[in-house]
Amino acid sequence: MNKSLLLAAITLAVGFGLGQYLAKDNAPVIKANKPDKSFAGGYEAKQDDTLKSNADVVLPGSGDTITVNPGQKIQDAVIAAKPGDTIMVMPGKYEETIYIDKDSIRLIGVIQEGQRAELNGRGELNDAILYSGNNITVENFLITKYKGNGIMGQAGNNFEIRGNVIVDTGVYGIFPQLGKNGIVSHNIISGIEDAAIYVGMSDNIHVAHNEVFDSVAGIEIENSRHSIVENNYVHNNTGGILAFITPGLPIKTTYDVIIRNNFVVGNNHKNFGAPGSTVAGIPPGTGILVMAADEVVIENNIITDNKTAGIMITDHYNAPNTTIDEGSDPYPDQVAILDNLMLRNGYDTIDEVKALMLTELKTGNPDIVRAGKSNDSCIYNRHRYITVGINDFKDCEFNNTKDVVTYLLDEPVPPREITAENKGKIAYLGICTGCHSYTGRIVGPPVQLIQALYMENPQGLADYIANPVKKRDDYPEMPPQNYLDEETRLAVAEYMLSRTN
Amino acid sequence: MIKRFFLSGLIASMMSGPIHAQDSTPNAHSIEQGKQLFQSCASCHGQDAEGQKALGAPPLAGQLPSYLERAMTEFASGKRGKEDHYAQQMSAMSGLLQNEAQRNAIVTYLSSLKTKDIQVPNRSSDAAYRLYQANCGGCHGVKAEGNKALNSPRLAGMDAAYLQRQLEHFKSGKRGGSSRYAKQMQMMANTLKNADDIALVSKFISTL
Ligand code: HEC
Repeated sequence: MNKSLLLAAITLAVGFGLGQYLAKDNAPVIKANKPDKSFAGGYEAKQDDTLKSNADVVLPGSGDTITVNPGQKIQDAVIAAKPGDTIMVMPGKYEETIYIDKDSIRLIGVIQEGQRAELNGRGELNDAILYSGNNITVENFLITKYKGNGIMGQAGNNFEIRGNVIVDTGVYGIFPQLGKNGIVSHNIISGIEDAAIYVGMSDNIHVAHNEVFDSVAGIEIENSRHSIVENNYVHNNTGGILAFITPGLPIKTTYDVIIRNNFVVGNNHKNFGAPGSTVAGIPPGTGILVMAADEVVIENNIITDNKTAGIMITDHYNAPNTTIDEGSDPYPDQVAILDNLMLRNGYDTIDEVKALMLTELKTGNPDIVRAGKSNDSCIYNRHRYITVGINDFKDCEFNNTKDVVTYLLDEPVPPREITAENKGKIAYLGICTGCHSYTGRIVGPPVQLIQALYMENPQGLADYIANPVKKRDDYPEMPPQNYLDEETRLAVAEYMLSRTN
Repeated sequence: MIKRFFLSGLIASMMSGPIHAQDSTPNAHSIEQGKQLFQSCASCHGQDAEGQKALGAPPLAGQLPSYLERAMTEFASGKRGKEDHYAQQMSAMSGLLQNEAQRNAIVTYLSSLKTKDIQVPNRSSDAAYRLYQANCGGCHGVKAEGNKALNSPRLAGMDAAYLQRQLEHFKSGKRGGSSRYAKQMQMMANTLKNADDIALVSKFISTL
């Protein structure tokens, strides 16, 4: 009796000692919100040279209103409109592709007792709305059954895309490419083969209050800077919210991205991305994915039920379906994970993550996973989560982002200058790079392969893009670019063939 | 998407229809003739044209007709055949290939041979898979099944050492010369930076 008591006491003492030791190392450092300090943001309008211009801007909405009724063509109204005009489209079905190549047009669907103006591609048309003008608004449409894009911007600045419902439409739902100062809000998008909302090579973008689901990628901020993704409901995609550098694009960075106050829930959809494409490598069950992007701040999101991980951070070396681009820094640096509500993530994770956990002798379901290198990153209240790979993350020196309300600008930014010399380049950046990167496969084949096919033959390339024929079984069709004039097609062909990265 | 696959499957089966049809068709005749002629090739390329690794002979079964025709013509004319001693062996055999009708019969026979379904493992996290899809798959197909529209031969089932040799020859300019396709391949071989990349991608293709 005595003996066993003694033993128990010893055990207790040792146990206690051990417990204390463990506590010393593992005890949560309770911060009580100290320091109470905001992320400063990475943008100073004063230092932004692209804002300087004395071009006169025709304010959208300052002109006439044109009404389009079912049976008429919306494109005719666009042709008739002058900058400043508003085009109101009455409820009904419209089967066409709309191309807006002038500035300051508002294209608005009228909603009458729940009935919307419906753009329907019948599974045959490529794109619903393409715009290359600046100061464009696209609002309140129902868009369905297109093969390529729902709404795609090509180098247009100051855009507003809001209130649209996009269902079962091709590769990208809303895709502003090469735009500055734009907002994507209050849209509902589902059933997209790549990204429901894809912000590509853009700056000063606000993506808010959207619902995106049943798509491969929910919201993707790619090769873009100074962007905020907030208050979105992102559920049942393969991957929820992504901040990426895609290698092989002509603009090589992503940084200063705030992802806050979103619901990122149950993004466990089977991956139906095109084989070999970047998004096809996203493991189902990825809540938020940061790949090679810098200064990404993740705050106050509700991240639940994502089976692979709540937050995944990776460099290019560890990311699926990516190649290395010498012009891009492959590491995600200065990532800051502030407080987030995380629950039931990582419950059926992938082998790679399990292996990482083994190296740290961790068990349980991972909320936060980091693979590969990341410099100067930080986390706040780390004790709340099951993590792997973030031991070298520092404690964050700020705990909120409230000083950064928006990166949108007070005044419209001037349009990109388009001259005879840079016509090909702008078209390449604004259009082609949405699907073609230099080295890897995005949607179409890589540019270096196209260079091999069309060496010394820009005319052949220009002819192909005017009227593409299907060549590859496992690739989607390439949409015709015949809305570009002949000169631009040749210029973009020459530019594509001259790229070296 | 599914519809399109289905459709292309349908068209493909319509096109390949005559080959498998009754003996009385002209195709069946040339298949038989081609099979006879192929006996001289079979000692290296294998009885079922499945290739023989030990002899450095690539598989020919299921290869794209246009590619077979081009390769045989190039060996026949001496345009190919000097890359290495395997190629020299092939040019020694090229007497058989001088006659166009004979070449056609062999092509018809070889492209009529059934090949097994190619399984591409879903290994998108694997560096070799990535390298293949990024640099090669765009022309040779996601499954290395070849692409007629792009004049790109089937590579699935080829042996790693064979592939490695060819890539090195393209890179060094030993294979290729002035034809447009060869130049394309030279350019793409040069996107593989070093011997490691070549080995990686060759090995990957050989597993398909
Ligand atoms: C919406 C996605 C998309 C956009 C935008 C796009 N492409 Fe493509 N492109 C593709 C796809 C997919 C293919 C493969 C088509 C096939 O093989 O059937 C392709 C193939 C090509 C090819 C290869 C043709 C061949 O002979 O194999 C060229 C050249 C090309 N695109 C040029 C361009 C140019 C130039 C632009 C910009 C003006 C552009 N593409 C914009 C998706 C796109």
